[in-house]
Amino acid sequence: MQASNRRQLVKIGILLGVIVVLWLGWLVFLKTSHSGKIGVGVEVLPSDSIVKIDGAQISAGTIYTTPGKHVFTAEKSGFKTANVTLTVSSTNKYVGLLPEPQSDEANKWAAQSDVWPKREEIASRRADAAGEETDAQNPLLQYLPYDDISAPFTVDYYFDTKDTTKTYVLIKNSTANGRIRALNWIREKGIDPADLNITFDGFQNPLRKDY
Amino acid sequence: MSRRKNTILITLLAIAIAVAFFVIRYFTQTRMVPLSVKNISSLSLVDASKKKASGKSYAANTKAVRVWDGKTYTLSYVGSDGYATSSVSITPKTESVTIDPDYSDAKNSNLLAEAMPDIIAAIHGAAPTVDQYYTISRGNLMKHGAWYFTNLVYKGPSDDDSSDTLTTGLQKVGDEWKVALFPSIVFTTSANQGVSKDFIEAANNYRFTTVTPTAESYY
Repeated sequence: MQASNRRQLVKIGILLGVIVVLWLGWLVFLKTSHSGKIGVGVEVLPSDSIVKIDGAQISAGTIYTTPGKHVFTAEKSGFKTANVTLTVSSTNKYVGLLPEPQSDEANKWAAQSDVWPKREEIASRRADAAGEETDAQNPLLQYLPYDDISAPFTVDYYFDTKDTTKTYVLIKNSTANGRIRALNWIREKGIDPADLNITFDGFQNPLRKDY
Repeated sequence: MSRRKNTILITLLAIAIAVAFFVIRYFTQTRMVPLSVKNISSLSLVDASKKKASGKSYAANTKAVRVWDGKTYTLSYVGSDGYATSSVSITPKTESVTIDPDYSDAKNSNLLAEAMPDIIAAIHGAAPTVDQYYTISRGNLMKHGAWYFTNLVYKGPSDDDSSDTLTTGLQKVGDEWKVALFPSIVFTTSANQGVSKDFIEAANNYRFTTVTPTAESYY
């Protein structure tokens, strides 16, 4: 009885040891295999489409890749190949691939009652991700336009007509004192004015005339 | 095996697992932050989340400090003679810390008195009409006497449309002072390409700490 107890204890000890070793091994594996990479959520519909990243086949789900620009595609016979170019970053890590049905068979598939809501879900997640990325790139935009009539100032924004990814912050309806307050308001939002493109409406630098 | 021995064995196993847990936790959840320090006489590290102000002290030649992941610390230092005393933050994102204290206020003040004529001449060179519109404030030296920031205070009525106080930044290149940031309300990297972000941020910080809004309302 005592010998069998001892054997049991040894077995439990060995089992615990194996569990600890496996756990440590798993931690080391995760740390090394995902080191420097970002987990990107990839969704696709039809779910049996062939999904590729930069031409290499992958499975939908979470894939780990290096930050930077990557091309994701989803191909399926009878569907127009979906292409998404994503600049993967810690704030930009979702891809929703929706190949468009083209053949009669594909259109029949798309007409099924449960397909449309699923496509809508993915499209909605894609729009949310794009919105979050725009906010991440331009965190001030979520607060704009902003009016402070007592300061006074208005902080607004506009897009560059030639490059719509470039935004300008416009400080207007202001006085010298209001402009100081406007810049302080931007800093209070945790945003460094040095990172923005700022223009002032109503201010003319007297020294610029001679510069 | 007796019941007593079994109990001892199980207790030892539990202790070993607990010790292993804490050792593994310590090494997986803490990290070493390399330090590069000079011109200081002492260092101390305080966990910013704790109310207790006293921290762990380190020798001035310490090469690294161990911190817990996810925590923010304040690393305070006392500058050597002629150097400033200050502190830096170690956040979860900090990979390494370089401490190279600037000159003390007294030393900067002496250097500025010598450099002022050249600085004024450089501002006049970049903005010839500056005296017509603005009074040049005394300003501050930074970066071991290589950077200078000052404000230009508008001379006209305070209700003029463009009565803003402007700020300018100069850098010492060799023995010569040059205006690196033309007098402006704020400095951005996009409008000042070719000027380092550190310099732009220092100029903005100087402005934000020295130009403050008046309490009076427009209305």
